Amino acid sequence: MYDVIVVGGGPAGLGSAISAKQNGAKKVLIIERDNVLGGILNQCIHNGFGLHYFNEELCGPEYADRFIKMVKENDIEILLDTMVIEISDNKEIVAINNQQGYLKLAAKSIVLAMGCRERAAGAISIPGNRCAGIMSAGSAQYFINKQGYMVGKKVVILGSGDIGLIMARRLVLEGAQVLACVEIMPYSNGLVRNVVQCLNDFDIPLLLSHTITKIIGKNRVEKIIVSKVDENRNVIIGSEIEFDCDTVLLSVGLIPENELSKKANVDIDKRTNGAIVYDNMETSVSGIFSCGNVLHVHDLVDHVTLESLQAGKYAALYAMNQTINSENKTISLKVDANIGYCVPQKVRLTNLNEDKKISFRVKKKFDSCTIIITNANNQEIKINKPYLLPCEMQQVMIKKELFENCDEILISIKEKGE
Amino acid sequence: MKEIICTVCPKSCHVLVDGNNTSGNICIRGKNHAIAETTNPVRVLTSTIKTNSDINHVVSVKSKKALPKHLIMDAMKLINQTTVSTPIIIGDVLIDNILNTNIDIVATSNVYN
Ligand SMILES: Cc1cc2nc3c(=O)[nH]c(=O)nc-3n(C[C@H](O)[C@H](O)[C@H](O)COP(=O)(O)OP(=O)(O)OC[C@H]3O[C@@H](n4cnc5c(N)ncnc54)[C@H](O)[C@@H]3O)c2cc1C
Repeated sequence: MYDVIVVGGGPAGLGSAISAKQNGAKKVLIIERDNVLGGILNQCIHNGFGLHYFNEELCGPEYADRFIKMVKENDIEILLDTMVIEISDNKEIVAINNQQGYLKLAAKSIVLAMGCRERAAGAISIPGNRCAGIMSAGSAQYFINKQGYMVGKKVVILGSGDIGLIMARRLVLEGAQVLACVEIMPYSNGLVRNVVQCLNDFDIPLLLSHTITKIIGKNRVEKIIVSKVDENRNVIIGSEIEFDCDTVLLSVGLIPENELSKKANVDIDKRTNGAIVYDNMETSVSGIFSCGNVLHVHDLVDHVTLESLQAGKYAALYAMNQTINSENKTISLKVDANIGYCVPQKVRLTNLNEDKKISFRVKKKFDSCTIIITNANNQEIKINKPYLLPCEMQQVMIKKELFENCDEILISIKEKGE
Repeated sequence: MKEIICTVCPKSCHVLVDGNNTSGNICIRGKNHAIAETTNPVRVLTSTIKTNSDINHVVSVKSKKALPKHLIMDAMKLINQTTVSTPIIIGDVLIDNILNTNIDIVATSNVYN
């Protein structure tokens, strides 16, 4: 019987395993389906990782390596090339691999750290031929950075999320021509830094309020049609532009990988597509914890790490004294219409010995504004911000006093002058 | 007069630069960055180098410091002409003093075999 089993060996899994061990769990196991630890970071060879956590700008594999070393120093068991296929709500894990075949493992507590996958739905809704040369930006990243294969010569990127922007630059550096980055929204979904350094530096046009309306090609993509859309995202007839290209990369968003969580009867938040969690990162199933991109999509790996340290710590504490957390009194965290979601969604009254860090994402851009946190007794905290952006997750600390004698907390945004 | 979109933080100020004078920035880091962008823009280059291994065909690399922007494509040419032997450990210098910049190209991942 393991104290803690961690599913997924990306930064969230590595961080939670280390933290579980350091907080007293004796037998800790990481199960990873890939043949190496590190998760998505292994293919993210660009720099920009670790500025908050290490105060240094690292590349993805360098950031992962620091945690892999700590995992090895901490006497944590690792199962690679092993895929978890089922988790039951009594915390039994079913996994498969080539060596041992079918494995049944029991744990006192479990940390879900499966990360997320790329949205492919965009591909299906594009009319036209189903030819070769259409793939997700992350797949292209894997082929080029891990396998050393080039994916195309003349490329158009659909979607302006950070992965798409990073790949635009990567393709140009490797000799491809990137004809355009096409974005259906009137603004880019990526960080401005990436728009500047990945597109503008290489004179790649960013076509805002445009989308691909047709893909033409017999065996391989030969041509695509791009059209302008109006403010309701309806295609404007007559605005068609033709691009001769052999490759289309899709960078249209990420979805947390929660199939396993659902099998374990974990309640899912429709807004994040991740688990609903308490302040200790515990899901609705007692003893099952969640963190990282499987909980909600993060833009910075540093935040993933910090969240995973919490999840690992509480998973260890749960494993050691098998506390059944009584749920009878909780405080719900609510957000106003300007905010997409917040994590955690609930705080337990029995666990009010420390201030709580809450993560949330705004739905649109705000210039100078105020974050207001109110409890049912009309006590308020106000935090002024020069700006808030949807592509940048926000975090606020809520003082424990604010939670006393109330059953609900509301986080809202007020624009200056409102 | 040149307009620079500042990338020091995500606020992304549009900074107008005229010699050593700037407007539109809200901090000193933004001022320094905008002036540097108009005089000597630099970027850290990240890429991959071919290995002699049959299993791991490439190793990821970075320029240890930011390179002058106009040298990036020339640096890529050299990087793509290079093959290195495994094992490679993070931090190994794979191309030293690239293009006489005094900046090394170093490994950012471990390739053991
Ligand atoms: C292209 C890209 C660029 C990014 N750029 C930056 C950046 O510049 N700076 C920054 O700070 N952050 C960046 N990020 C974000 C950061 O990398 C992620 O937030 C972080 O890696 C998420 O960590 P994770 O452990 O939750 O997920 P992952 O890294 O995805 O790890 C999940 C792991 O779980 C494993 N797994 C899943 N299901 C199973 C199963 N059933 N059984 C066994 N194992 C399983 C997977 O194989 C994987 O290894 C970027 C992300 C991407 C995708």
